[in-house]
Amino acid sequence: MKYVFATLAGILVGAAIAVAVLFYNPLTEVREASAEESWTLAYDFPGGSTLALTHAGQFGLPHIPADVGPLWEAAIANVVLNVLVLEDENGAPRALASRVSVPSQETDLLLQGFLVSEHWLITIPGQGTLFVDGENNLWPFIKESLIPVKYLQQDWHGPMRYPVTIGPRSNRSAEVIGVSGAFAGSRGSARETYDLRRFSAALGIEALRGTLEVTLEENAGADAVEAELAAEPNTPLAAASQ
Amino acid sequence: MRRLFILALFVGFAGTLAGAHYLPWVSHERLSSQTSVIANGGRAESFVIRLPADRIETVALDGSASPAATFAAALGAQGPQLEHFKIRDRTGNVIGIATRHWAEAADGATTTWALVFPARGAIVLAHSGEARDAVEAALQDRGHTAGSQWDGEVTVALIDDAATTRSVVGLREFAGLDVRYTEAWNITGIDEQGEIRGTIELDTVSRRGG
Repeated sequence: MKYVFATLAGILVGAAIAVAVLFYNPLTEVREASAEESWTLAYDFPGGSTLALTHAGQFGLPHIPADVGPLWEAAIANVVLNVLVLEDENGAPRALASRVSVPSQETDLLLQGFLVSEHWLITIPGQGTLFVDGENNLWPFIKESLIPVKYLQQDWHGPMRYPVTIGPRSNRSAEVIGVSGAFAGSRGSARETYDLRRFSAALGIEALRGTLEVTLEENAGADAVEAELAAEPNTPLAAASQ
Repeated sequence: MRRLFILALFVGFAGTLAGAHYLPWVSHERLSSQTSVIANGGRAESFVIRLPADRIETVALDGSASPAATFAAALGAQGPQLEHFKIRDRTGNVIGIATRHWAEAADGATTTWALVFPARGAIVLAHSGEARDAVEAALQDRGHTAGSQWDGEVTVALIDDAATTRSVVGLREFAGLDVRYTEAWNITGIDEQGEIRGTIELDTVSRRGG
């Protein structure tokens, strides 16, 4: 009997040490990196900037609008669709975005973290459309906010900042591909950051400010857009939307 | 006994880490791809959207619940049109999410489709956009008036020459493929709220070398 107890105790202690290693594993941390010449598109989540938010219902997120159909079919049950109005650095609405988030099959809690593939289609009215393919690591958010607050009933020690993008580019940024207008043919990178401002056990994410830092490479049209987006809000579109 | 404890501790430690590394933490339902090989090479696959069931509603940008009604007012008639759908394979099973952005820029209008299939990857397709409200215009030609019910049958081929389309990017299973497509709206009716009944069919042909 004591051998059985020693075996079980050993396995449990070993597993507990492994869980601690996973929690404090530096391999799954995401370090913040800043692009030098980038422009920023920002949004408030889950409300604020949202034109639509739908999923299968298992994420504790609201449905917006309330009567939007859930994504209940088996093949899309893990997907979150979020349609957003994105703001520029001055807080003026500048773009419309459709974001499809899919938990990644590359998720590896030891070496990578909990990965989510992010597919953004972003249209800046009058200027063109971009596609952004990103890989985000939500493990720091899960272990620092979700598990302690939601499942261990601890107080939340926020606000918290999570630079989440880790790929798929080798410099740990998302891939940006210009589709049309001034962006046609251009490529670039993007990094997303979550500023989690309010989080509770009952409601989960109550207030989050997300920012997408976009950098485009070698495209004259895109340079002009970057310059406009980086400028003070005195462009006709920005002024009209104030 | 001490040795047994240490051995078990090692097993628990290594087993947990191995599980964290090797377990498939995420898996998506994978249905068989309804593809066929075409005579001159390449792979054909059709995607279907059934309206109104597959349309994913959004808050109207210019509506009272919109987070950016002033933005919509500033855009006016120049604003882009965003649509979102569940997308099905040829047998009618939902297999992904489709996003359609129609937008005007200095070089003209462009329609962009982003098709995301969780178990397979994603493709982004683009084409010189149709005229604004082309579907509505086709319906008006068949006698439909705004705000009224309409029954009938009309096929609006928004893109009937796949050679004019382009494949922007393919991810995972679609990586490296040049995907061309045609787009047809087969409409069988409209209700008083303007909701379309019918199907949208995207017929794609994929070839290596995209």
